[in-house]
Amino acid sequence: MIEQISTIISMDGNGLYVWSCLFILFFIIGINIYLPNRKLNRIYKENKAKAQ
Amino acid sequence: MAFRRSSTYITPLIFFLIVISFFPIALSPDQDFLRSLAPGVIWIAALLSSLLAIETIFSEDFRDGTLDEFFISNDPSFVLVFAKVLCHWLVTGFPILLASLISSLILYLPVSSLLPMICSLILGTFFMSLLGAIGAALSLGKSAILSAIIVLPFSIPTLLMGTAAVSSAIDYQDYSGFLLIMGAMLAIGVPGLCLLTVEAILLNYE
Amino acid sequence: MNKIWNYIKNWFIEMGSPPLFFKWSSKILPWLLFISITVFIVGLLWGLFYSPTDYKQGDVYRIIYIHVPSAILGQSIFMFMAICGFITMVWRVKISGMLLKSAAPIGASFTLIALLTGSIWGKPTWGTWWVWDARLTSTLILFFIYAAIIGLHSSIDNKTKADRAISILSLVGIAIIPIIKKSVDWWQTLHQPSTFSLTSAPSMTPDMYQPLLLCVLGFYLIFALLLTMNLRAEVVIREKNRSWVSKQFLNLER
Repeated sequence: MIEQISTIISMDGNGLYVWSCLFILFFIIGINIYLPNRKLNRIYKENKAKAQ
Repeated sequence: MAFRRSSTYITPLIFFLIVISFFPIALSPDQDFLRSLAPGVIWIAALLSSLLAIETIFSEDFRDGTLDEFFISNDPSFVLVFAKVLCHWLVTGFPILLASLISSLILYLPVSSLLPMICSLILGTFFMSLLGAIGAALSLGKSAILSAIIVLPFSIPTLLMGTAAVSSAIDYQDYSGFLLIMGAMLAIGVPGLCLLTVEAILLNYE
Repeated sequence: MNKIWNYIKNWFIEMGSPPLFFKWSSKILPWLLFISITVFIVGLLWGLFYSPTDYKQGDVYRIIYIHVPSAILGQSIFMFMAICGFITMVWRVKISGMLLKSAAPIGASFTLIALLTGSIWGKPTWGTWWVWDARLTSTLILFFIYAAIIGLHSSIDNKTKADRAISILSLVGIAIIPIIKKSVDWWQTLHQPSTFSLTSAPSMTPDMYQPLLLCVLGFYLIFALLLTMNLRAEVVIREKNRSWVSKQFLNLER
């Protein structure tokens, strides 16, 4: 079981390349998800503070 | 109008020559090396100096209200924009053409490649003036670097075709194809880019 | 015919009005989130684990499942932006300007992903991080154009004006991108007769391109998700002081 996982991760020694690509993908998409939500949250908080 | 101030046509000229002379100093004064580099060097210098010059095309008229008159008058405004670009090109692009002749001596370009160089520079710098006019109109009253960032990515085809024409002339190959493509780009660019420039100038009046 | 056209047009305008958009997008957002992330993850898992290994490149070729969809997205988002730009310029529809603005950073991100993964892929297969190949060069220029659009928008304070400015720029871009592609191709044939090619690798088996298609679909859905999120943020920021924002936003969120 552990051997299987390690072969998948290493991918014949090319794992580093593939996984770093995957990391870049998720990192950049993560930023794109985080930023608009942060903007919305900020305005939400501002409005909340004004209402109270 | 632009003739009145000598700085408008002297500055890009001097800038062009300085940039050109930096390449042999920075890289190597070797003849063959410089000859292989020459088309690219001349074209990059021409591109940058025509961008530098285009900055002022609308800003002064915008400030003193001449531009308002343009749009109030009955003439179609894109013709006026075209006239403006043409004048500007005559004032700034033409000195660059002359300077490119001098720089071809400095960079050891063979005489046979002078004709394609001049032809491609005429077509290319005019296209750059049109593109630069859009950049200048979009960034009226903003920093010059912004309009350079806007315009430079779009200038790649001109740069490629221009250098390709000159370097294929150095290798004694047929260069007319590249000039024809540049001419076609210019023919499409004149109406299209002028119309969009009008649209971009009008943005500043809202 | 005219009646139907008017009906459709009015429907679009109505759906595009900020308060209504905010309302219906809050309804579909959870669904979109669920579907897009599911397809995205399934496509990637299928591509990265279950598809067969390429006999020439080995497992490195699996980067294709990240690289190709993001490159496709990078280009088609620009197409989308140009359509939005046309609508903004001709009919002055407010929401299409906002769409254009919120699509730009997403397109730039996908182009950046394509560039980065491409160079990571290039290292084991070509031996270098970067080659001045026609395709790479034109993708790089596409990234610069995205950067120019984002830079121009952020430099203009009046946001409706900025929308129209970048709509002009996106129209210039869509006209010039094919020329850039063609001219870079010609430049290639002049300078380097033999170029590396990604796609002329042995034609793919169905086992390989089925997950690729799913990945492309997943990336498109992710784009729709990101666009909706960005647009919601944009709409709320622009209309901060309107009454509907304080009403709907405060009630609907959480």
